[in-house]
Amino acid sequence: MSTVDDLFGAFRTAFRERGDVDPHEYLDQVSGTDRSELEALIDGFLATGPTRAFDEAAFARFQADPLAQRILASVGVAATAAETWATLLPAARERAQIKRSLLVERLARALGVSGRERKVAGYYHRMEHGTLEPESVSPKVLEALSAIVDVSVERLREAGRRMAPPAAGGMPAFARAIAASPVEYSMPAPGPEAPADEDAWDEVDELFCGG
Amino acid sequence: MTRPFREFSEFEIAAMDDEQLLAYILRARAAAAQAASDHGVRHLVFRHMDTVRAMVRKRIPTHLVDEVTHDAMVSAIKSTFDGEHELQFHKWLAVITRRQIADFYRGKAGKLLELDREGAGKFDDQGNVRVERASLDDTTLELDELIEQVLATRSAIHREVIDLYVFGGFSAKEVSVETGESPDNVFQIAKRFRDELRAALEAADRPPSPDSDPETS
Repeated sequence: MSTVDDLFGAFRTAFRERGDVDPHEYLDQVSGTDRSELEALIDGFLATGPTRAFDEAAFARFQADPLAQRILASVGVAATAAETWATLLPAARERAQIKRSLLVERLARALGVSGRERKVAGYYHRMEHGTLEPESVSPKVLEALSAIVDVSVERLREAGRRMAPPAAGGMPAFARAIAASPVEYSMPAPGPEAPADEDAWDEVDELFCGG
Repeated sequence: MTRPFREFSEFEIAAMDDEQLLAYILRARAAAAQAASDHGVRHLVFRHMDTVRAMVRKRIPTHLVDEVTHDAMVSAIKSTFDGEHELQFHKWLAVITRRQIADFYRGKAGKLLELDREGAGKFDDQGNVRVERASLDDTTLELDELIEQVLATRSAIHREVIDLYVFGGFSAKEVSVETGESPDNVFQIAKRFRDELRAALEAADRPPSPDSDPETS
């Protein structure tokens, strides 16, 4: 049988991972004073104001939540922000139900750079996270992405124009906030760094950085 | 000379705490930067909506959770921008949420009950809302007062230890770095709080003895 502490720990973890959690799923597993104690602990946790760590995909899902849309409308705010790659690409990928690894594989094939998936993944990661200069991305990349996630080239281009990569020095502040949070933030792998043998400028760099 | 307003990137907004975010939204409004202000509000709601929804879910029948969550969030945001309080945003939000829940049970939230009339099977023969007895039990509201009573005797630093260690789930070592209390002391402070809370809950759960009932004496 689960103890109060086990259930409280499980609730806290679930809340930090997915946000929308029903406390009754945990409260209903105990009774009497144990239930009251678990309820008190959950109350105390919620009163500390646990906030969600920012995550592009979660933020996109939030903006599509009917409750969020109603709350925002009631305070005079349109639910959806102007699209950027950071909001459009994860949402489109999710809608198309394509894992990032598969998208990268298809993108590399469509661009004629099969075998260079790791480097393509790094650049795609930077597109989703707004750290790649939009103007330097070749139209060929947008055309290939358009076919994969079923979003028009024009819409992709517009979303890219609205996205300015963070200025130098901007990222450390974000990194500090993540480090200070009790929520584990998992950066999608692979990261933007290319391995040593991929350092040389090649056709992949040309596609994503050559304009 | 006033600094011109600069719209922050998604990453910069994400790195702000609530109070910095609220100040950013107010600066955006003052500069008539509507898009930036709106986006700041989206972040604010994103951060807190699930917390409020969980607080409400504990106490309100499932089919009315979204209504009460909506009202609490909207009320807290509007009153914050009207400058009606000086609490940290998450604390004010908790106060407003508790008020919304209390209003529901006091029957002031008539519009919620009206909304529910569209839901088949949720009313008894007299047209009263049919909800589970447990969810209407006053003990859920009294629990807040009981926790506050147990916490009230603690110093500010001990409350911080309890917030971080007991509720937040940080390790004794992490709390020690944050508060300056030794890890052993952190553990002792937490244990005393848990023991007292448990005793208070057991006393509250115990049925009153006949001697203490004024109607039988």
